[in-house]
Amino acid sequence: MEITEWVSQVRRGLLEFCVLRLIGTEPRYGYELVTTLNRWDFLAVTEGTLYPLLRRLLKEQYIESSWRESETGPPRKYYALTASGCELLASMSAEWEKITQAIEDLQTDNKGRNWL
Amino acid sequence: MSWNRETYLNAFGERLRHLPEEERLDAIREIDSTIFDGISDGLSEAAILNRLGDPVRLAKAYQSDYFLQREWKSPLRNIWLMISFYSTTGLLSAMVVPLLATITYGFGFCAAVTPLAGLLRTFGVNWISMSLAGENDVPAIWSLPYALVVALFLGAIAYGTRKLLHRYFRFVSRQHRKLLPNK
Repeated sequence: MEITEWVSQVRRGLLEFCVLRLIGTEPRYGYELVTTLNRWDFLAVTEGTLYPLLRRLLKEQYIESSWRESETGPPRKYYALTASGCELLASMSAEWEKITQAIEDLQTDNKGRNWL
Repeated sequence: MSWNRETYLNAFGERLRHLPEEERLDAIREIDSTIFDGISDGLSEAAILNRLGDPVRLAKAYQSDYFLQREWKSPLRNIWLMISFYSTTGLLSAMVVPLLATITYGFGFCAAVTPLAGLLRTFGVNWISMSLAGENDVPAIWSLPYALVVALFLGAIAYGTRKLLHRYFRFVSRQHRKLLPNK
């Protein structure tokens, strides 16, 4: 398997989690989400990917949106977690802990075996 | 084609015309504020529009999500379903219905006539021949019981195919109902 293909699969799976995490800390608007995610090469997205994802999360009522005036320009659409979005984020975080723990355990197990 | 903010938003909005008006305006305003934010972030208009990508594709991404949500059925898809229903079911019916109907009514008629023939033969009508296994003639006195057994046998076949025919009709109307809009 090509490494880029693997990376894009993993990233696709994690994007929703990352977006919920960002929105979970405070309400955010689309442009802000894209620029924040773009600080990491691995998480880089475009609006074309992010906005449909946000729309889906809205429809599934994990997030809600509201228009807020901006001091400098036109109003921005802010996204915030709903109660069920908070729950989803909490269970995703718990699962994520399990995943990283398992991968770490695999590594230490291998080392232990190598020592024998 | 090189876009500017206005032509980009027009092209984007034009492609969103299948969305409810409120959602459409909402999407356009959001993209507009994104362009503004990009420019105030120091990007050139061309750079932020480039990042947003082809407006047609962006609009498609918005709408594909919308149609997935609604389990969208296009009129074309409905027509396609109709065509495939009527051509396959129509052809199938043209073979199945006459076959089953002929068996049902043919065997039914024979089942009704046979006891009568048995009765007539008992009383000496000799142009009616009855034989067992093609050779041994049935004695005249046994004509009626023999005819009744044969009639029962024929009747069972007629009854069975009639049931099959009805089952087939129910199947076709069920399939047909599936095609009609559920309202």
